[in-house]
Amino acid sequence: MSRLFYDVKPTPRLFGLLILISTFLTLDIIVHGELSRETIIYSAILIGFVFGVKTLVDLSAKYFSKIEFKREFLDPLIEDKNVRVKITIKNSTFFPILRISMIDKYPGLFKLVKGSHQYTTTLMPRSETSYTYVVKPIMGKHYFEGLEVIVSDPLKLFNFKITINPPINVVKVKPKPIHIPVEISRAWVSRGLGFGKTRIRGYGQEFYTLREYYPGDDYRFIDWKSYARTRKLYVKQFEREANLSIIFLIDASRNSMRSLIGETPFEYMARVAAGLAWNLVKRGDWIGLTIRSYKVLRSGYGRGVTHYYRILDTIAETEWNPVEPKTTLGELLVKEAINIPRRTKTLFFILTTLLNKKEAEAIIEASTKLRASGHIVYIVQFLPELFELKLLKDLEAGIYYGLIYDEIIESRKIREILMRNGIYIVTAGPRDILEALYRLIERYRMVIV
Amino acid sequence: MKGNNNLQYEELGIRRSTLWFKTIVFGLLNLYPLYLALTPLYVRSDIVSTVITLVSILLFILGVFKLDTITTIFSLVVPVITAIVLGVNYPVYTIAYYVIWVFISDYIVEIVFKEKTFTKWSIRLYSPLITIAIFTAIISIYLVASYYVSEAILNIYDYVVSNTPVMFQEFHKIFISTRVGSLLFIIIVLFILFYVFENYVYGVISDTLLLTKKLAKLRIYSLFKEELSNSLKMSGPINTLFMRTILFVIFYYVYGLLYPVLETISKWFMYHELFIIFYIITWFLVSFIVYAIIKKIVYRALTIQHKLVYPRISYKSFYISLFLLVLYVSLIALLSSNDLGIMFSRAFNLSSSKPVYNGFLTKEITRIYMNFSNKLYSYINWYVAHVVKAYNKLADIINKALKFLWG
Repeated sequence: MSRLFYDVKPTPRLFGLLILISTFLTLDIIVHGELSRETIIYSAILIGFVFGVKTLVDLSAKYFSKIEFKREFLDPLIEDKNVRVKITIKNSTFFPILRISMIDKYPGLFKLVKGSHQYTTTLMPRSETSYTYVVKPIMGKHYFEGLEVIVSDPLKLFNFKITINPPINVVKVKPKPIHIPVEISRAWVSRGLGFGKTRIRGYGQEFYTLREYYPGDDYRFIDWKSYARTRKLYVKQFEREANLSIIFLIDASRNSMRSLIGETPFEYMARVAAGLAWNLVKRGDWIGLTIRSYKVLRSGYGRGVTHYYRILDTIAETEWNPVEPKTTLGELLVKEAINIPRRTKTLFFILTTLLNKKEAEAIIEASTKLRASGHIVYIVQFLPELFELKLLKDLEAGIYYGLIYDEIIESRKIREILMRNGIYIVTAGPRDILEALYRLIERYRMVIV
Repeated sequence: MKGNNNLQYEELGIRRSTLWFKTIVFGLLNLYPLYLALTPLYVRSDIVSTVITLVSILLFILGVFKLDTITTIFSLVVPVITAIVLGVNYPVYTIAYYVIWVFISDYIVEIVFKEKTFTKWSIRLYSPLITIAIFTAIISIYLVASYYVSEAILNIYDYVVSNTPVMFQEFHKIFISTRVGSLLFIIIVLFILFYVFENYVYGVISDTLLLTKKLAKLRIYSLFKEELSNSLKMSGPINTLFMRTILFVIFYYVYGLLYPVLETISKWFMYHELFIIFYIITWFLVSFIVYAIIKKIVYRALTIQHKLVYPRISYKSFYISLFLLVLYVSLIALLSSNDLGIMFSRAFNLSSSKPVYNGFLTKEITRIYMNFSNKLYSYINWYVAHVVKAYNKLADIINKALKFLWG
């Protein structure tokens, strides 16, 4: 903490006061023609008062290093949920700070909901005071810029200003997973798929049947109990588990951060990914999440509730940085495919706005490679214009449509190129993302069956 | 901060209509100063005072409704200025107290009536008492100090004026009795106050409040070290003051002593302005040279330096003296009519008989010297007269400047 430099400065108020006093003195001398004894003594007392006030601020500056500041978050950091930010100031010295004014600079994307981030008070000796304000956070990684403190005397004649950084100044806000309506989930789950297991023989946990031993079978699966009963060698067979392996690849580049904050394609991507991840985790599927922002963020590959939280944390790490990423989606796709620990067919969902031809070409190249090794690549193209049009009405929407017409044509062309190359592509707007994705996943599960 | 002797206070929520409270309290607090400021005008019945009274009341209402300190102050200042201009005998300094009171009421309103408060307090029972005690103690120390210092200055001044008949009464006539002079005087008084506060009162307060054993040790050590280094390096406020006084004295004397010499040169200059520039440059140059020499001497006299290295022996002076000797001898040899042996014995004064100066050069030199001796008295007279003239001129210039400034 940089709290070493305190520069006590006079304020414009002091200059105003002094100018006023000197004006009156001059006026007095001009009108009365001489300096009375009384005037001298009273102006001396005034100067004494000003100096006394200055001493108070100077001493406050000396004691200031012993004052403790703390920032706390009283609620969990989840987007769209109000968070109470509590600033605590503790004065354990015997010296009072008569006027302390604080402004907590919360991240610019957050919205102040209740209370005020500014607070002015008198900090008495051996006391503790705190103030709370409520903000509405936005998903991702954000920084608190610091607590700006102005210490002055009650009359605001002298002050010193300092910015301090209380301990917690980086916040990672988790996304609010999109809620999957019961109708949708029931419609797809009830088609005889049970809990995601198929009646297919293979290696798994659940016992399926016994069959006679043929040379070449694994000794490990010989059922010795049956051998003892029947004097014949039998081999145990298990159900093959039809758990899916899915990797979400979210493109958090500049294009996905268009539109109003809170309604951007990136946020929708993250929410949908989080919502689906919860559903898939419940069914025992393997999931991975990779975010391509200006640096690549990975959740890792796994399953279970713990892994689900890891995914949420990864989304919360994303920074709102408009810098274009260096790696293309194609390169990232290949890298992710290599890194998968299990040798299973994996579904790759690339969630992107994709308004770039170069990116499209890289994806084509990568997906041919992946297809060779049995993976399936789906591109879910979010149309940013749909996100923006959602917020506009009538004439505004028309004007906006006219302005972005070229982009729409461009994205259509890209889509055509991709489809010509045999890549599965789905377009989605804010209203139908969830359904589109969910349908895809469940269809894939059926294919395996 | 836990414990039973704590005052706990928690406030959660928004006070929506604090603005009205603020306005009312701020207005009420400043109503009495407004009354005091308006009283001298209110009594009068001319149009100007009536208009100004109304204007200031309007300003006051505006200031209170907008909670603006500047407008409120203006509403108090305007009637007082008018009253003074109209010739009402009104104590001027009171306006400063009005201004301070406006600031204080602003502080009270700001601290007590906050609109958005989600705050929590935990205070010891004695905390408010300590706060008030420290505030009043520090402020009252300053007030008392300023009162006594100003009283002391005035008393000393009175004593000096009444007991020194000629010089200080003249001083009083020139300085204090005039308008600008009195302003200067009050500035001096305030400067002395500033010096006393900055160097003594603040130091005493902060040292008492922040006193620890470590600090005391450090202070004593640093004090000794500082004094020692000041006396060794000729730095520090007292030494600087001493040296500056010397510089001033040198300036004063060099001015007078240079005057006769430069007066004779003045004929060479076509323009008088050019001569004045030349004079000033020479004056400054000579003064600084003299100052540098004196500073060096004083520095040498006051400081003890350890010389780690022995000085190198220089033969420069020896060669110069040898050269001069040879020159002297050869001159005598050239100009003397006597033979070499006698000449040498005379030159070094080795012969027993008295030397007889009958050469051309000796005769000439003797003549010039005699002339000079005869005229020396008149020269000195001339010089002194010119020095007196120089100082008269200076006094005249100062007098003119004073008249120009004071009217």
